[in-house]
Amino acid sequence: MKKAYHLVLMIMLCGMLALTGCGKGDSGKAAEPGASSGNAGGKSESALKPYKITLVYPATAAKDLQLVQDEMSKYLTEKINATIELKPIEWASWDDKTNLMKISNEPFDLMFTASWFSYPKDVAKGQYLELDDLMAQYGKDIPGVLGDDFIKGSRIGGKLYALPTKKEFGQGFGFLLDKKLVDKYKFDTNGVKSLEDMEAMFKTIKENEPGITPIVSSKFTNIWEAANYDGVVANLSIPRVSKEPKAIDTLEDPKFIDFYKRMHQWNQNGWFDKDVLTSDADQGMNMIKAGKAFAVAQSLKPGKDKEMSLSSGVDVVQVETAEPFTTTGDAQGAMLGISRTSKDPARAMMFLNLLYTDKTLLNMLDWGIEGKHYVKKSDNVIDFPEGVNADNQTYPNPGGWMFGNQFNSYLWSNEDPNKWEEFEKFNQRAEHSIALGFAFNQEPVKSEMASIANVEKEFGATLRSGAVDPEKIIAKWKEKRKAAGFDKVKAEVDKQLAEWAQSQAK
Amino acid sequence: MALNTKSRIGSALIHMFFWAFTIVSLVPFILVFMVSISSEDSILQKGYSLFPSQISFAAYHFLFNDFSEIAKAYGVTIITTLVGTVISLLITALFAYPLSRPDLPFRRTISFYIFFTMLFGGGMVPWYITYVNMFDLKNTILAMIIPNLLLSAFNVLLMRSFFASTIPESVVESATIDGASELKIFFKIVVPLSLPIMATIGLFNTLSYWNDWYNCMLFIDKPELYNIQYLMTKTLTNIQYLLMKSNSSAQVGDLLAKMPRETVRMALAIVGIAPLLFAYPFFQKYYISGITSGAVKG
Amino acid sequence: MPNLKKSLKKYKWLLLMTLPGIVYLFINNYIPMYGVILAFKNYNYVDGIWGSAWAGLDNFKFLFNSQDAYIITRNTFLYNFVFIVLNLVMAVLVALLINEIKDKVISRFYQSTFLLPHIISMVVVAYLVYSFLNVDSGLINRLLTKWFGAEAISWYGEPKYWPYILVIVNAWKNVGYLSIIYFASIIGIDKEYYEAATIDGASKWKQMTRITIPLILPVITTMTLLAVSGILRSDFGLFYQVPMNTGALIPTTNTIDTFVYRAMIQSGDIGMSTAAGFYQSVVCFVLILVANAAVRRINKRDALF
Repeated sequence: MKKAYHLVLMIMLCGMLALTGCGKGDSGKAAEPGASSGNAGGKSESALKPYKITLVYPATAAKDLQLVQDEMSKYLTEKINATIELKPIEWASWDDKTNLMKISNEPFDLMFTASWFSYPKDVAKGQYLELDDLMAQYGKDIPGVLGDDFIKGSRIGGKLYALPTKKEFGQGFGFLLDKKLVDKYKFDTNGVKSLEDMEAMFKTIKENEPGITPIVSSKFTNIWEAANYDGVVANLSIPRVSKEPKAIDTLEDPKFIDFYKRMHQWNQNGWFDKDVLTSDADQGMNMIKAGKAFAVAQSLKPGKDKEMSLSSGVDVVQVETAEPFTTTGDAQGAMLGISRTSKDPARAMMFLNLLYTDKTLLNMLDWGIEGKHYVKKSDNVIDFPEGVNADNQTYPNPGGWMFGNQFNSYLWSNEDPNKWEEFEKFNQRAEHSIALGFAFNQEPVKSEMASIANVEKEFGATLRSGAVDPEKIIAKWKEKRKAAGFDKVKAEVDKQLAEWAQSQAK
Repeated sequence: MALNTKSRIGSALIHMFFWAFTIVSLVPFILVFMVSISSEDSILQKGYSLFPSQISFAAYHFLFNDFSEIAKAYGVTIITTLVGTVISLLITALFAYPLSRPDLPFRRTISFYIFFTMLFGGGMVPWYITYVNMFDLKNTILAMIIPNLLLSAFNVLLMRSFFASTIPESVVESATIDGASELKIFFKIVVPLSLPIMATIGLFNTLSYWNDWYNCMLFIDKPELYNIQYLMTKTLTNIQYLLMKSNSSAQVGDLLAKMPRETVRMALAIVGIAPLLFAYPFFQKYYISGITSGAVKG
Repeated sequence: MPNLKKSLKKYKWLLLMTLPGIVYLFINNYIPMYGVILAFKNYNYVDGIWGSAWAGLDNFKFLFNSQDAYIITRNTFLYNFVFIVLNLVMAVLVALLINEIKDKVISRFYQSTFLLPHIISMVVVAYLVYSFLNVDSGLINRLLTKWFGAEAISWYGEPKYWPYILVIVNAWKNVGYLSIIYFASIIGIDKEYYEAATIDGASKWKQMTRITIPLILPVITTMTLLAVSGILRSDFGLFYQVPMNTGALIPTTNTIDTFVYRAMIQSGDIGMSTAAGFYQSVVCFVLILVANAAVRRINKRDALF
């Protein structure tokens, strides 16, 4: 019925109304009628002309990319009379290739971006369009899905240039522990553990399990820093407990120095692996798998331990060392922006709107075609079809965390069926930084920042490994950082923060 | 008699030196291979070893899962390497030989023109734009033959000094007096006299074509046109890149956990370079000493 | 002028032979050279290469506003200097010795194996080096502790060892490859010289030093000059991948290229990276002009230009 209705409308070239029809017909959650009437208001005179939307994101091109692309195009033609070109780019070539696309004014519509993936730089250099008006017109459902804080956190200088994926909003902090050993020594992993609690565990392991390294890699120090400070740049951070958006220098913060004295002690106790200077979390999982290690630090989210147990093949349990914390960096952790070279930004925004609201479309992008790349076990739960497994699948997930509303994404039968409810709870639990929504513009001090990056690299990892006396290395670090232009950076951070705070007060 | 013992000791020393050198060169390569056929477990337990406790071809099974993809990529590499090497060698030799003649007009200017490109460059961006906008090379097989690889200033200058040191001026002079044209001298006298040199530069061209993944990465978007080196290298470079970013995003950390394990990484290297091992013996055929200029003159 | 005209006519064919190469370099290298102006621009995507505002010398500042400027320039220069000398001596030596091996099969076997290190990518080399040097299960430490009863060394925490490690890795990777160049030029030497020398009763050593080396000197000179022209550039893989990008090793492993790479990870500013490249080019240019002039004074024919 619906389909016939829709077809008739298509023939009558009432594209805008057709959108409403499809929205109701195909997706589990109907689009708000407001969205389509918004569209109608924008282009009521003529129907939408056919248009190809190009979506650029980091991933390895899947074998069946073309098939999925065709299927999505078919679906999108019905919805917004558009087709789609999926343009995955290998992670390692991303910087070069996208840089060339931007410089050579290549037309494309949507591009993945993130605070750690050149979002602030590209905004400063004018690559992305401002989205507020477009969203008000063509993406009316998005604010409802994301909520104010998510959108606030995505802004740069008060303006919105990209829309974040709805996913976990904040980071949890802690360790993944070898389940065998947790069971053997009956460690309690519930609730949030203090550093002393953790020390007791490591001590037990060190004393009773001679061949086992209590903790692999210095990643825990990153995690501790991220849990306690909202970092801006160059060790300038807003402490989590701070009630005003003012940056301090962590290298002068007693709490910070005490923590690293403790890490130095941990290192002296022999709790870290011998290769702590080079080891990363990836190696940590390997060592746990080989029965050579007990713990590795991780950013946590609900179900992280299950996920890691599945992908590595060894049972681990997670233990939190801090409540989740949300900073601008987390809000901008995965986003899609509309390029200044887009030929039809309005259509790109309509597509974005669908990614946040249309379950069918999102899952096509995430998992491929039903029956071919996955089969449904129940409404929300999917699994591989007969004869397909993780090694020979032809449309591996490009990364559901990159697109739209991840909470609309299907779950696999080996996942926690309540995953998204847990995420929702996690997001509510997360404490927001006082400076959430502040994004530092590096342009005025980019030359100093470039010099400081090398200084940070030189001293940061050594300090974190706990291999040397923290006070000595911090003194050297500070001296060299000053020579690289730290004072100017600090003045700029203070200035921008004050301006931002003022704009927030209004 | 004394002389004989002396030279025998000398030659034994030479061989010892070479055996040491061979071991140093060969063992790491064998190590890469052994790791690629180790079981993941034995790597986790003992690290890299020349004598893995468990042999497993899982890494190769994983890679050759989709054999048609690899076969196609080998095809692309072989075509680009063959065509590229031949054209490149020809242009290089044609360029280098005249410059080896001391009396060529503009010799210094042209040499400087070549050398200057080794020092100054406009960077990747304008270079890429030139090939994509002016010559429309994107997603063509020519993109893996022409840009940067077709002519190396280094090879031209090297070949120039090869020619200068091995082609006796007298040979060229006498041929000129006999009335031979320059092209004839080049193809009939210079080239046959320079086989070892041609083979060396040909080998270098082959190596750079076979090992190139950069052009493929920049210019090729269609997976069916990927060459073998890019197909193999991209996984390794992805891992490096993700490691760099893994502190900034929890999701990137998750991606790393899904990346292929150590054994696969080494198998990637083997699949990428192994066929090259057959290239060198081919070029060695032309390492014939004993051609004398007299033979050519006669 | 009539002289030039005459010689142009005489060398018409030779000059025509250079044409494909000249055209190629013009397209591949000279047309894109306008990109150098990015070093002096505050680039943004909207205004493009030509439209972006001029930045004066601001893009060069980051190279010089820390104490690192001296260290990275010194490191790059000294490493390359050692590489050039050591690689030259070893490669020529290997080439000379290979030439002494009369058995063709064995000689070819040696040559092939020496090429192997060159074709292994630096990322893989980095894994290999790590398997030798890691503290926990690395081969070297196992030998040290088991056989010599010494303390295990934290190789990745001790910058002082790295100059040696990097020189060894570089030599291992390149000597075999370079020796092929010298070997090829030795083979190219006219046999008549040796025949004459043997008749005169010259020893092998004399033949090497009096015939072989002088005759391959033009190749040696060219190779050295070409290496000098890159003395301020460094093999990124060697200095970044092989030390596993370890912060503690920065004092001895940081070169201009790794410095710039680390500086650009966050800002990714194309103007600043172009500026760094330009700085390297200018310094190399000055050095090579000097070196070339010196060679010219000795022997005109061996100079690069």
